[in-house]
Amino acid sequence: MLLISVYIAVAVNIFLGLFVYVKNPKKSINVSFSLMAFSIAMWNAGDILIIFSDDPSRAILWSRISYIGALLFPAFSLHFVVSITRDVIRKDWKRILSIVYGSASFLLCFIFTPFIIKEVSLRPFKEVPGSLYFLVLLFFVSCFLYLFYVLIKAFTRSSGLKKTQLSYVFLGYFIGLIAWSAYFLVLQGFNLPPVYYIIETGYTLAVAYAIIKYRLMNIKAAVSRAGIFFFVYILILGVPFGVAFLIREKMLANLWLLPLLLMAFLASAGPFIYMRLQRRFEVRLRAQEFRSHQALRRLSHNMLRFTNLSVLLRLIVHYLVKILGLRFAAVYLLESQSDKYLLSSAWYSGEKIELPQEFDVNSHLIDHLYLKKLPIVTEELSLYAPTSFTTHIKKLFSALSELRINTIIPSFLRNGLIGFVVLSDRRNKTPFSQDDLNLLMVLSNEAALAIENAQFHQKEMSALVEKSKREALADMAPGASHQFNNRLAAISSSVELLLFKLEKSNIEAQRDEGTKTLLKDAKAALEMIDDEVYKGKEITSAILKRAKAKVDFQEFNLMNLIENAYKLVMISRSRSGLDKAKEPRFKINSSSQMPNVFASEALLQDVFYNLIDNSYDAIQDKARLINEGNGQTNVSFQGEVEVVVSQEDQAIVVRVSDNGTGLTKENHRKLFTPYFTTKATSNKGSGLGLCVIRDFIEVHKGTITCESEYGKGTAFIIRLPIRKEKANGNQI
Amino acid sequence: MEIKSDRKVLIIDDEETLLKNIGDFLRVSGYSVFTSPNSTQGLELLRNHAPEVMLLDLHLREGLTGMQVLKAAKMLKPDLKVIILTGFGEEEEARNNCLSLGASAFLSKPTSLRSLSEAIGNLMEVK
Repeated sequence: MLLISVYIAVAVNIFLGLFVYVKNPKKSINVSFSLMAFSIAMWNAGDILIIFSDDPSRAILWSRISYIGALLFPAFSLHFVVSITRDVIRKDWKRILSIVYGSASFLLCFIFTPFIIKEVSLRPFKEVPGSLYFLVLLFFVSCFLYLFYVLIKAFTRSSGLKKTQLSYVFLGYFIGLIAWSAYFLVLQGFNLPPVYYIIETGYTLAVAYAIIKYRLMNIKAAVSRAGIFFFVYILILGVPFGVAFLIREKMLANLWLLPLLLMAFLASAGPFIYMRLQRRFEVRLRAQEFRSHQALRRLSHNMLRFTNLSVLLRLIVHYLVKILGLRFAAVYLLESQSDKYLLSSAWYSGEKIELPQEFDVNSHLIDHLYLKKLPIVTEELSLYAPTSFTTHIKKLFSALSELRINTIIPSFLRNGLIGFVVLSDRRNKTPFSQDDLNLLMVLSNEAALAIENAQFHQKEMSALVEKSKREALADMAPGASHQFNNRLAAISSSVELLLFKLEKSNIEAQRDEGTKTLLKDAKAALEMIDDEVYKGKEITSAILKRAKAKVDFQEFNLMNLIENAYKLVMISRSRSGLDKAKEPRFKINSSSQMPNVFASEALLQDVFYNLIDNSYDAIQDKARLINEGNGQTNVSFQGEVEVVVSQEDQAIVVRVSDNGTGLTKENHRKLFTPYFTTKATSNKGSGLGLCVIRDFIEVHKGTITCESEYGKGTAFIIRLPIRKEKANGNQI
Repeated sequence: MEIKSDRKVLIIDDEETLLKNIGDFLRVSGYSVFTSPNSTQGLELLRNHAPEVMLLDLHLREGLTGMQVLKAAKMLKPDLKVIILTGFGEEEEARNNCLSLGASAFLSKPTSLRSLSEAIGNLMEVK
């Protein structure tokens, strides 16, 4: 029993020492831990060799060697605790450690002299302490007293992940303390079973777990699980052995079956008892956490119901803040056009934090998320960063901690990162457990689906609305304009007939001056009416052109289309109250004879109508701003909208520019995101979003880009490929 | 007046004001004008008076459509010159259909009386 436990202790210590060292040979935490584990192994190995030695001179040598381990162990332990608490407690550790190592070396000088171990007697084994033995004990005890002091101090000062880590270390040393007390009691002649070696491995295991494990289990859960496990196996093994012990007299009388059956029964029931108890205990211990998990699960189940993207995102961030007790939560979504992750929704409880508006697709953060495909916990970056890319990670770590971002949860959809959620720390400072993060990961994947669903739905909806608007216009416009044109025809024919008669009647021949003037005035008025009638006809013809424009691709003249779009803008804006004198100038230029385009007339009508309309809005806004700014209305600002059509290689390039308000950097960036509008009032901004315009252009395999300077103006540049093959086909 | 009477024009349009105005204008310009607000009466007039030129509204509210009237008229009198009037704007498809059915011109309302009279004059000279 003794032998087996020592072997296990030596093997476990050497293994853990090596394992932790290999994990990160450059970190002082890992190095000092390994040294500590090796020193324990040395100490225990000495004990084994004493058992095997036959003569006292050998035994005393092994005993002394074992004491080298026992002396180094407190020093290395202290070193380890110092390196793990260094970032929490600032002190002149170098000096303290050199004192510790100095005292250890001093005592080591005497290790092979009788001052420490005088002699060893075999059977029964007993060490006779030398005159300096008390110094060894003093060193051991003072080292550990100081160690516990440092540990407790660091524990109270730390928070989050560090606190959990330290609690594991603390747990380990507590187990160790029990083991060494037992050990020294045995040395002093108390009769105890040699459990201390086994307990001791518990200590190294706990500490190694704290260093190596990427994310620590909630300590309450760990302790409760270990405790229940221990209890259940004492039950399984203890009860049958106890029964066997009680009935050992009658064992031969066929009762040997009873303990065996008991054992079989308990062993098969064991796992179920364990699971049941564990569940019970955890529900008790982690009631708060379980409640929040339930709420998160409910949230992720319900997410797919929401088809409005902005509502969905707000819902997600709001509930995350509420359920997890955060300071803030925010969602960033990929905007594929600009290759950036844009801040799409954020919720703050308490003070607002300036989160960055965007993350570049090539930033370290995104690289890291792609690499890990798992949540990033900021604290862990500093604790467990692999050495190979520490500089990147260090930068990332400091950037994230400055923003008080604690955790980043990626949302993957078909291997692409469609976005991520950033979370602050909790207001009560407790870190997220592995269970929390697992659940958040499930939630974020569910969210990815819900977001895609909402994006698709909104696009569909807006296309549908656009289509029904077009269809309504196509239904209404012809009949209405027919009626209108017929009224106009009646008016114009009456007017023209009258004018014809007036011309024939020779006004100059009238003798009465009054009648002469009257007739002249009437003639002028009739001419004016006739003019207006033909302007009215232009209006209906522009509306009809738009109504009749076909969605299907066909060949047509782009210049005519743009001019018609401009006319429509003029028609629809005639009520907008722009001062006639300040009417913006409209210019349209084409470089040379333009080839016809093969495109969807209806879609391009919508595109240019909306772009020109936007330009007029921007000009109107600027005029208003100038007026408000100066408090006088006679500032000269001449609005100008210019359309330039040119041919470049295999593309027709249309540039629609204005000298209106221009876009701020932020608005410029968000321009093509769905449902973005710069227009504050509800009656405006109901036009096509630029995201739909972009879709329309992309139907033509073209591109749309925007150049803008705030205060100076905006220009949209559209490139439409000339589709020769189709155009030729049509000509034939 | 008698000399001009062989320059006969038939107008079919359901807009009474327009019908009267165009008729008056053309009469003053020296044409013999027959007007009808519907297809039945219009075709009747065509049969009885054999005009050289017909002004036809493409969208008649009752009876035959303008297109049907055009076909029928061309069958009755193949050398008839037809000018189509429409309130539906310059619709490419309708224009092409009419021209292929033998219409000579396609004008969208409102159109000036002067240009209408010119168009009629041109068509008469062609003959």
